[in-house]
Amino acid sequence: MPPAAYPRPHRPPRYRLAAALGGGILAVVLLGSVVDLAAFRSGVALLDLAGLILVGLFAAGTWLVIRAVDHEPQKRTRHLVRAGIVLALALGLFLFGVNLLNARLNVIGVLASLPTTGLALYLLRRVDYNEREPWRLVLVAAGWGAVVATTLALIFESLWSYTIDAGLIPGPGQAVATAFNAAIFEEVPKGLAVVLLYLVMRDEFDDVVDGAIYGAAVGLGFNFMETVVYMSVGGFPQWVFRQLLGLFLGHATYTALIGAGVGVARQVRGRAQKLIAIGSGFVIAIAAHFAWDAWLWYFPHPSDPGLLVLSIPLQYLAMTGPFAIAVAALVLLGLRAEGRALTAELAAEAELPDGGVLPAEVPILASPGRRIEARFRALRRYGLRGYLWMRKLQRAQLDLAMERWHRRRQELDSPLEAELKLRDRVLAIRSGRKAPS
Amino acid sequence: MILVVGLAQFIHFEPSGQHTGLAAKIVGVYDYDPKTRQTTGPNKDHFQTSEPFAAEVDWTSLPPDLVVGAQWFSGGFTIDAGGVGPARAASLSEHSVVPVNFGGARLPPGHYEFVVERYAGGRPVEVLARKTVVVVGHV
Repeated sequence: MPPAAYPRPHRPPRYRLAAALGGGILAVVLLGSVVDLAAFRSGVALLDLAGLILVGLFAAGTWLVIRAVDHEPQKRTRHLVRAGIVLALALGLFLFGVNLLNARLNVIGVLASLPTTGLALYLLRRVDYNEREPWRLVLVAAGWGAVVATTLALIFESLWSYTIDAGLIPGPGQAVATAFNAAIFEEVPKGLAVVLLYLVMRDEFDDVVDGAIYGAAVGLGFNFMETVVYMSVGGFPQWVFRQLLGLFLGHATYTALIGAGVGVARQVRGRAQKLIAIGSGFVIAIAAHFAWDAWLWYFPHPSDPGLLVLSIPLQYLAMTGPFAIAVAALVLLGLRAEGRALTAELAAEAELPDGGVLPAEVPILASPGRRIEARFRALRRYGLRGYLWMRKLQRAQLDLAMERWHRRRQELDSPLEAELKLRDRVLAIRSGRKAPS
Repeated sequence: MILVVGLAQFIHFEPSGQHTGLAAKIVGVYDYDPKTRQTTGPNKDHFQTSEPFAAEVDWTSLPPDLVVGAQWFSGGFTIDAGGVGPARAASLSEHSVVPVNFGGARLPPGHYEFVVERYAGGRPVEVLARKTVVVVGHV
């Protein structure tokens, strides 16, 4: 029997050519938009670019959902999680594009603020030396601050301006109202990110230290986008004030206060106490932010550039300094409490006959410096693989100790098998088997 | 404590129970000739830093005995930029044109807000009308 002229009649070869042409057109539009955006800062190019990427991401998300419910129902959860990530990326990109338009396409501001904000996030993550927060959550927090919180703040602050503000008498009353407006409608959207992380990612949200770190990450993201917007009007001095002087002494401090409140809520019992802890964090953060904005009414920035250079650092020190010291004190106390608890749990684990920690490992795991020493010893003996293995083992052991701590304090939502799984994981890493997920 | 102080300040400067339902009529904002003290041209909401401008108020839209004033404010922190009053509305009929006055030949760029306020006890207690214009360009 002669072969068919078209073995796949629903896909004749000309379709391939058409698809190549379509792909080529898309590539040209993408490339043209990138060039136009870079060379002319064209708003149309930005819309083209963002639109194409958005459609692509939404298409990918939709395809994953269809696979989850239709083609591969056995992998439904995994596909749905991936679809959620892709769709969230699409939404984030869209909001970033809107924010960038609001900042008059200040691409230079974005490029100038990325290294400083990135470095700040890197340093922030290193604060919790007992159990570092995963990068993905730190970046999600910063991303929320940069695009979601800024968008919500813009919407509600504008609404306030057109309604409440429009009826106020110019002068001290209106100035106070403006300070309230900024404090409430910027802190609440930022704080929501920390509350969501607390609700959804409980395994990675242990205490006041974690809360302050996630909160500060949200604040750094918000500060990043605010810098880009303010630079579009005020130029390079805005970068100096917001990315150098005020990098940690501003939004990062305020939202860290909210995070600390949520972190305290993680470790107190009773719904009322949890709500009080979370509410207190929000109130203190709003007060700190309000104090910063209200200061400008009493002490407006001088027009003389020399005095301005002096007055702004003074404002940071006087208005945000005390709150930053409070955050630092909370984090230090939290780290000490965490360290003591982990030492006790590691020692208790070492006493178990089939425990995940050996008695000799307890003093090493309890000390950040000795943990690093042990990793470098593994590096010298076994190379990079040895280093990575040791790091993985230590992290799994600390996760196990943290889980024990939460169980002892009756702070567990997850089933008790979680501890058994973590112990199995430690033992699997130690024996070289593939660790159970 | 910070929030309580702020709230107290807000209540002091924005006293409740002052709403009368009255509204002043701002006819428009126009180019202004400082020599003739007259407005010229059409109603506008954008001006250059080199263009003096003034608001025109119809004081007859208010009860003659009402104590009122009209002020220009500039910037986010309400810097006074000229105005008339406070006085009874009837006595302001010759001051229907209220020019913006920033003390220099050119105006700083930014938002300028014109507000007609009712006064009681020597201080403004209610906004009767407001209009915002934008000044663009370089000083």
